[in-house]
Amino acid sequence: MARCGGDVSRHRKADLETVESLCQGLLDDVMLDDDKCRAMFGYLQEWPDLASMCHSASLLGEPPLAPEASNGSGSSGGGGGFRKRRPDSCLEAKGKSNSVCKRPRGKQQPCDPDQMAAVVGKGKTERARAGAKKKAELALPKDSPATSESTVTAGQKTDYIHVRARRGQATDSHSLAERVRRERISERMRYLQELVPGCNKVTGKAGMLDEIINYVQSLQKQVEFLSMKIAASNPVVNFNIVEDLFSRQLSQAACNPAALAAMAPPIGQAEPSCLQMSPLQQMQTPAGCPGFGLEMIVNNNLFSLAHGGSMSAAAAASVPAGASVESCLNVHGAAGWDIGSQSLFSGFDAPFQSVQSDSLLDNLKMEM
Amino acid sequence: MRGPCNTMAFKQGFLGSLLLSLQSCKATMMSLEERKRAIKSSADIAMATARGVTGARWPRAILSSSSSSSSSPCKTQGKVRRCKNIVRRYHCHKRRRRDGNGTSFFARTASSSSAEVARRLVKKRTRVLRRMIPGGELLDEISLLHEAMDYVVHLHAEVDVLRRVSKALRRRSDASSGRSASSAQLHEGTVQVSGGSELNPC
Repeated sequence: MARCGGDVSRHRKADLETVESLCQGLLDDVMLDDDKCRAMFGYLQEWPDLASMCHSASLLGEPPLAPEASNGSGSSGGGGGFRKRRPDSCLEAKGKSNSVCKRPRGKQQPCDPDQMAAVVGKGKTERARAGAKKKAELALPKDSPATSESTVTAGQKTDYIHVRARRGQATDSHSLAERVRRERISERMRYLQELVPGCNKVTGKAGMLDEIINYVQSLQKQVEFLSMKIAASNPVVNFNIVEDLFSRQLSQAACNPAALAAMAPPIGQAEPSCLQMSPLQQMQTPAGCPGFGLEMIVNNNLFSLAHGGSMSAAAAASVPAGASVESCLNVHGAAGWDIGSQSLFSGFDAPFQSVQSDSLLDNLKMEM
Repeated sequence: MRGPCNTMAFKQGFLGSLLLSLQSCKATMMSLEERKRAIKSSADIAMATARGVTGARWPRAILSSSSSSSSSPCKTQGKVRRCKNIVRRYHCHKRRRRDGNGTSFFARTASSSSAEVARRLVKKRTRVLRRMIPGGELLDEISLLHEAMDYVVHLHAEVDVLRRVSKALRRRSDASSGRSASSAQLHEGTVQVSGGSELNPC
């Protein structure tokens, strides 16, 4: 915080490097080291649909069946075709001309030349059905060796899950429900296996649960440790990190009150845009990028406005070089800062992932 | 796909919330322990806020626990604990009933069966996992695993952001300490902390 020009520029560049690297890291490195996280974020968004998609993609003849299944379940009586009610609906439907049950539909399918791929699976189904006729009325015909969980198409939501019983296995509803539950658990275990490092070698629920527990514990301990580190390296009474990092820029841009009234984006958005934009802008201004300069000044002024006026920023600028961070803070009136931060905080209730900040970031990337 | 945008948006939101909540801390003289606790709690709240309360249960649990700790701790916590006990007992009873109907009836009588041992291990570890994930006491196994996945992803991002912040702060404090003699202590403090941090894969 020296007053000489060379010192200021050197100091500023050192600060800018750190802050810029931090924000650049946030912008760029997230693409490199977050492949898994990205995948997991995607999975989490599409979770309810993913299960049906996976299973439908891996089974023979499942896609042609799925819409028919949805039709069958939709029309077989209020609320879809639950397994227990299915035999009644099947028996009734046999007599009726409209075959709403799956079984008659399954029988008709091999005759269809378009679905020859399903014939192989259907052949097995016929044999299984012939072997256990009574039970086949309870269970739906199977398509593939694996147990499947075919939900209706992604758009609809049913209360019932349609399960195919394996050949020769118990088909009462309790064990079927058990199997469904186990399938879901194992599916989620598989996703967690991809997420947790070092989980590939372990199989079985207990081992993987152990790994997951260890990983979550280690992450939580890392958070504690990092917060201790931040607390240790920041021996200030008030955690004005942003003010520390941006105080010099505030002092630079304090003398442009005309731009204050011009822009008025929500104050809550000034914070993240400041974080990402201002250090990059500082790098650009020596190169002479006029459009950015205006934005930087405006942002910094908004920042200082939110923090209670540019007077305090000017006061910060006048602190002598030997002063540490505490004295810088003590200069400002505590009341002004509290009001400013409270206003920022209250304005923060608006959702952060706003279109505006994203578009600003896109502009930045294009400029760079 | 919303994958990359989500991670970056979450990190931005988290960073912003973290800085704001740190700023709104009380301006009193705090010891290292108190400061660390304040940073950690504000990081958790920031993570919960940035995640939003849609699609997962743990953000709401974090926010409710933090708000309850700040205001009227006794009554609400007692109620919450009683509700948790009721739900937990219901889930245990439901699971035991289902297991009794299933195929594991005879395996239960043999005490040294490997399947039984494995099941006991799984139950124990599920209990531990429940305690670790905020709001996990009220969930059944399937949603617990889903919550764990969600929580792990966001914890990972949080650790990343905190690491960068601490690195930036340390570099800045090192740069400033090179100029002033009074911040020599600060430098030693950071050196000690960084010496301790070499043990952890930071």
